[in-house]
Amino acid sequence: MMTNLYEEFLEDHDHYEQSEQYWRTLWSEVVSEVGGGNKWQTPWMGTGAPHIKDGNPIFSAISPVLRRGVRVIQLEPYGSGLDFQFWFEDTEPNPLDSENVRELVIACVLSDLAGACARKYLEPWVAGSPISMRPDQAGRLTVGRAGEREHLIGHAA
Amino acid sequence: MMPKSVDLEHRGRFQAQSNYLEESEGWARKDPLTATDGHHLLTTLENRLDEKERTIREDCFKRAHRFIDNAGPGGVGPTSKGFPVRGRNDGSRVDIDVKKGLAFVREDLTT
Repeated sequence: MMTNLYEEFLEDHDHYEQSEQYWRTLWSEVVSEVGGGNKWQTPWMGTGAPHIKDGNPIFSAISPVLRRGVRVIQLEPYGSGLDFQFWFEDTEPNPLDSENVRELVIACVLSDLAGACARKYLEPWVAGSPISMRPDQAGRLTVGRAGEREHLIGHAA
Repeated sequence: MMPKSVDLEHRGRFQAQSNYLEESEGWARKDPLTATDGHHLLTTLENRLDEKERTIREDCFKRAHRFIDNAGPGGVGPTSKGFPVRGRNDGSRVDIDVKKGLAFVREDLTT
């Protein structure tokens, strides 16, 4: 059974701080597991101003070595079930620009299951592994290390 | 593509994206983008989409406009905001990227 976490994060300051801590802890575990060779730095990107506590993003990191970034957007609960999306984004209009950073963006309602999903996607990204994306038979996108069995991108509205 | 110039210290873009769509409205200015101009550019982007794509993103645009309204008098600094369509899994969303400088400042603070 799935459990949402810190659902009142937009209204409750404590829930917001606990959410931030959740993502920092998950991140530390992923980096520790993968290894620190790619010199990831966090935080990377803020919400625009210190007074803005909208969870957008709630966590960010960058590896100048890999030219890769991570951005996590925490969403308000919506419907029931797992709410987890991700996409890739280039910071520059031209991906070949020397300043370009390729981002993995995760947008989700925070839950124990969403955290587990995020970990699956963060691990290869943090390691610098090639990522494969392909639709499954139901048309849902899956992601994983290239050449490995892909993980389903869970999404239930 | 927007020019990169030392004179244009305030840069950014609004985007409407998905796995099959990428539309954007950018800015590159000497002075910070005002909240009013931000709303205008965002609406321009919204109006460029066909009815189906606009309808899908109706709530995303509302959240993006609300972010501009909530920026505060001094606006916001560099950030990247994503407003995904809830209940879909095709990357449909509206993005706000403040690349450099300030954006969404109140008009009377720019003169």
